[in-house]
Amino acid sequence: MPGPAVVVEEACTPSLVRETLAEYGAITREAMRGYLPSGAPREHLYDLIADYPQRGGKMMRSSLCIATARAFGASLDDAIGTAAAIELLHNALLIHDDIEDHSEQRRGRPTLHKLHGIPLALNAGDALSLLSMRPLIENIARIGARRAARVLEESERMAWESAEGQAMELGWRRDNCNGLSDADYLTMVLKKTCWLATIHPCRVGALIATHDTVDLEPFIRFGFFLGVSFQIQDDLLNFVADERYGKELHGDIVEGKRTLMLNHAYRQATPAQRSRLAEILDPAYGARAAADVDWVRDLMGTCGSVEYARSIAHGMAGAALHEFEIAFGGVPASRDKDFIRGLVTWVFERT
Amino acid sequence: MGTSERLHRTDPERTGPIRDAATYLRDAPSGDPGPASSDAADTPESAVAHGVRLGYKVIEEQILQGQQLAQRLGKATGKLGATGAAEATVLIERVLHLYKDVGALCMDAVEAVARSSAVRAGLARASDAIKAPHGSAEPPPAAPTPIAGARYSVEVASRRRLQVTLDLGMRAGQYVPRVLPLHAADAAIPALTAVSFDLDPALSEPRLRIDVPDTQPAGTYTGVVVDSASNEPRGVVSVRLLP
Amino acid sequence: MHRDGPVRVAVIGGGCASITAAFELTRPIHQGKYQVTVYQQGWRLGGKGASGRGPAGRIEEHGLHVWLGFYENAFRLLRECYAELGRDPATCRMATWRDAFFPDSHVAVAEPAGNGEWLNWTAFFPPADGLPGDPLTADNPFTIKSYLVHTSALLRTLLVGLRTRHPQSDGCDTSAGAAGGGTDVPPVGTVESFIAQVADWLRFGALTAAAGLIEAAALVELVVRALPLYPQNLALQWLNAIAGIVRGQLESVMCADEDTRCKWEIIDLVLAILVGAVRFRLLLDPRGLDAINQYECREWLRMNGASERSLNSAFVRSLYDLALAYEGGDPQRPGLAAGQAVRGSLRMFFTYRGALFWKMRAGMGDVVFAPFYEVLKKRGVRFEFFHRLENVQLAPADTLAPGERPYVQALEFDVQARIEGGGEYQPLFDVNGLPCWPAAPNHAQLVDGARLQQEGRQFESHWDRRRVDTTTLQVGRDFDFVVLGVSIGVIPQVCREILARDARWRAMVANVKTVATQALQLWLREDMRQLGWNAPAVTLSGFVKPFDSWSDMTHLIPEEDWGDDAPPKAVAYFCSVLPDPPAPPPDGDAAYPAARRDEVYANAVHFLNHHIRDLWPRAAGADGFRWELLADPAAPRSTQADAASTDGAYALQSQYWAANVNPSDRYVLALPGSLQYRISPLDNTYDNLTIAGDWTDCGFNEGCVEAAVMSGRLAAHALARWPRLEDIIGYDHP
Repeated sequence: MPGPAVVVEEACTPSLVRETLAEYGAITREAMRGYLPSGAPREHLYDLIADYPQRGGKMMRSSLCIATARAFGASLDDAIGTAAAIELLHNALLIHDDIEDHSEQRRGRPTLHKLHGIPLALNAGDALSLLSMRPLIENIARIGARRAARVLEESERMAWESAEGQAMELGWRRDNCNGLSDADYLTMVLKKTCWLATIHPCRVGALIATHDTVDLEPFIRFGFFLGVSFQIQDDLLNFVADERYGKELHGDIVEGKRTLMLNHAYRQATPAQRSRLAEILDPAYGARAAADVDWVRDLMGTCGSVEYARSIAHGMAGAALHEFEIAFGGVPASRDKDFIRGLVTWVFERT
Repeated sequence: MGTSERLHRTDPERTGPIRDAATYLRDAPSGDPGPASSDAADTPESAVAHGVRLGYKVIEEQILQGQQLAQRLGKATGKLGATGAAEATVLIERVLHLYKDVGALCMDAVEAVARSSAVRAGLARASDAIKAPHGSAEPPPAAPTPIAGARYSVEVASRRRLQVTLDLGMRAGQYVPRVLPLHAADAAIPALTAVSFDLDPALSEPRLRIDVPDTQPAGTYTGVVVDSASNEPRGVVSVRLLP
Repeated sequence: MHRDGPVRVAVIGGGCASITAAFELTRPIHQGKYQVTVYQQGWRLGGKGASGRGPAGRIEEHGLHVWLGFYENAFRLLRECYAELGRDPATCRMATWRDAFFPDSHVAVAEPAGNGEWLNWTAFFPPADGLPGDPLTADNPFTIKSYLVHTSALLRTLLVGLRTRHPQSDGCDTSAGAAGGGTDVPPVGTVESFIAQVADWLRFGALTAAAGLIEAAALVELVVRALPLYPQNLALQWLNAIAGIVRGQLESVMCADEDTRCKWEIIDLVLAILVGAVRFRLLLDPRGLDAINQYECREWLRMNGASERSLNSAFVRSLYDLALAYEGGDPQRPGLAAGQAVRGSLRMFFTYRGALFWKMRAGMGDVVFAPFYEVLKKRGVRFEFFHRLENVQLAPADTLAPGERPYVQALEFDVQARIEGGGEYQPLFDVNGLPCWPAAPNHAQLVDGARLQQEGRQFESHWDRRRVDTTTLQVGRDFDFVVLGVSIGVIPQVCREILARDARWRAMVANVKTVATQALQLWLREDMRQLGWNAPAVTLSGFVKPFDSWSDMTHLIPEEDWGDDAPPKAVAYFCSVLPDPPAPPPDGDAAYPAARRDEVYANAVHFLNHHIRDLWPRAAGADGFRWELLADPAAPRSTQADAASTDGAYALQSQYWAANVNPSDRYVLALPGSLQYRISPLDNTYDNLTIAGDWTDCGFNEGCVEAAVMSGRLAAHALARWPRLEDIIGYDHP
């Protein structure tokens, strides 16, 4: 099978990305810890709030925010509050995501609602998302009212987009929508994943550094393509990697998640296969047996959905690189700039 | 006259034209091809291209929708921020943005022009007032690399710290620059008018002079540099006056 | 809700839109369901398209009436009308529509040359396949993509035309790779390969002016064909790169000949349109070109990089002149909504069939409205002439049942004259075998006709309100539906009740503006060649104001009735806007129309003495116009010597001129920011009323015959669900 048609640049060593993520991740984690309150009730709230932030994670979102800000000339101090806020919100949404997806594992340990029950986990998720506002309010003193207000506006926009994206995806699952096109998928991923993970961090990073004088629209495109290739790669890993990855294998199929591969398989399938697939994906179907999961997995294999998704992901990465040059073209060379560019390819190398 | 006797028009199915050009981008008569046919991709290469193409289509539509939504919201709610929701402020910001936009387009055009040797040979603008600096490098003809910047000096009279950004794309020797007053985003703040270009006699170089009154409020002031002969924009001068 | 008997429709006004609506509602397919009565002030149909016959049967028009080759709806209906008319070609000179209309491909623009002189450009637009009104093929010819493809093909044609004037550059022709020869869309490659292609071209293209540009234009064409496939910002970079080179060229060829410079200006404008289409995302915006209607056309082009020189080129000035796009008639206030301007230009230049212009062999009244009148009569339509609408009466709001929409309760008319014997007025008379409209009413048919004539009643004048009676039509008793086809100038007067209650109508009346026009017609004893115009017969615009537009109408002479001895050898029509006075004239000022008419006369004298020589060099001598050139219908055979003995300028009295200041005669404008206030005929706020005219939101929001016809068809659809909206050609186009 021929390799991907896009030649992807390697302008930095793979270890640069890992090192930068580790460095910025540690700083952000430290900052987050500073925001985690202590008080009562501990075992019903504050321990729960602190759980996910302390479990680790790639810290890609906050690192992207810090790196963009520094690449455009800001100091770490100016950006750290906002970066922490992003990670806090991300963790809050993870808690709710895990409930919505009925997931069992998160980062190698049981999910929060598996440990404490859904009601307490739900409440902790709410509190954590409120907590993510605190650094943004402190921004008023840290970087001035005007920029703080703009960051708040951007955060609001990002939160709405995420909610809309999540609604799209959950709606497809609940209503057993099939025959979805790639355009549908891309729109959903843009809203649900990209805004929080890649678009917003870059936008606010650049906003803070340039005092809101730079055009933020190119970051939408860059973040979109980066985030999409990131998400597709995530879904591919879920499909092929084994349990070392930290989540259930084929968990996506079990959830009935409408990944690019699943949609592709549905479109390519024969009518008989389609009705079988629709039956399996129907939420009223009950627990999906291992045999059903295997059947779906085989169908995706025979339809070439995995290769298809891989090609799309590579194409998105190529576009991300192109958009990177547009968004970051005016900025002098720096380690941060290399790091961000390196993220595009790192997406394919991480396990 | 009862209403039951009176004839009524029925509502038409729509009251306006369908302008959506997306339906006209295909040559076939209208009729949306189903999702299956629009996702045609047989080889990995065509899948890549299809993905990229579709990706751009999706993102451009989303950006457009975002802009439209922002416009609608912008009318309903005031913008957050220290300057408040004054319409004039928004207008001025848009104008400044537009100048930058237009300026950028012109800059690209101007840059492309400057690269063309035929144009350089044919161009004959009156510019005796400012002589082209000797020894400024002739850009190499073929390569699309940026031209070596012209030398400008900047002379500032101000009691406070400030940062000056001069963004030009073409050598002064080609035209006589003139800078328009520099405006802040807030219309209430007076503009910086004591800004001008002249020729530094000592260095025979173009010089940008800026005089800042003591009472000038802090902020960022931006103005357009134009070709004094044709009034076409050539660049931007930005002054950030620190408190 | 059904009753026995036909549905009665009152069509008010007899212009293009109203007649179209009547024609649609009385189609055989409706099997007589609609009984239509047309109410018209004065003695003739036509509205702004009316014409009459004066002395010597000469045609006297409202202004310059030329049809364009893209008027698909108008031509289709006209052809159907002539087919139904069934005139015998053996006996009738004007039996088929091809007898009535002929194609004209010569366009001219006038350009000031700077030293007080004028350059006159003529262009020949090649005839296109098919005829306007032919059925359209399955391929939609009106996509934005096909517009852009045509545009870029035009670009390439122009550039190729320029190539021969530049020295050939050697060795650089093979640069641009994929551009070589083929006109197929390149296989859709990756983003990277596209960028590489662009970079390649830029490396080579930046060196050589002409050669690189030809390749560039070919690439533009390919890009545009593939535009939906490629990302927008790439296309934009691409276009900007080309634009930069082109504009550099524009500067460097300042000394080249005028022909070249003119072409560069057109290229500049085309590029600005392409850049604007991409920047403003017109391909993706669901509103299409309407998205930029708040911008003024020149302003929008300027935003997209068009140079000042191009914006003031003859081409652009003519665009404004032909559209009479001057607010208040003031030449210092040009205003044209960018979206509609682009749409109009694209339709006009790229979708014409047959020829760009189609001229009429007689007056528009004779060629269009008389046949329609005859066909409608045969179908059973009734005509009430000498009825002027005074008020549209709404049912009082407190009488409406819950959920019932407001409706028109009554229509109040002034009856300007009654018909002797009580029957219908016979409006047409014969000129050389052709039924025509006269320039004055046939008083013999009117009750008290002699007295009315002696009193000099101006039945078409807004300022002459005299009447012999009034009449009120009641809903249910006299009519069921109303088609309001009076022009917007009249609406404030006759729709007072609607305006009092309806904010949308108030906004419409405030924003949809009109402009008055002035017209001049000359009959000349020498032909154009003798007068010094050596090019073919043209329609020219962009000339000095007033009378910036001229059309050679010599072909009308055989249709007039000058007798055999010394008919004129040339006919020239001029028109332009007429500026409004600072304050509108009071309604009672009966002398106003005459005063403006005198003003137009003075304008004409001045124009002929000082400016006409720039068009017709031999028409004027050292001391002004050669007044003896004018052919007087009262004394057509008088010799030149006789004519010269009269006071020169007085000779102009024998010609025809007009100040079109009546509110319903004012030409409708498409000002930026105004088009969103138009209301569609489909709007169903008043559920027994629809509106029709080129002032409505009809899908082509500019003042012209095609817009009026589309509007009339929409009005018919509003009442009868026929014609189907997709059958109204061009309604749904970008």
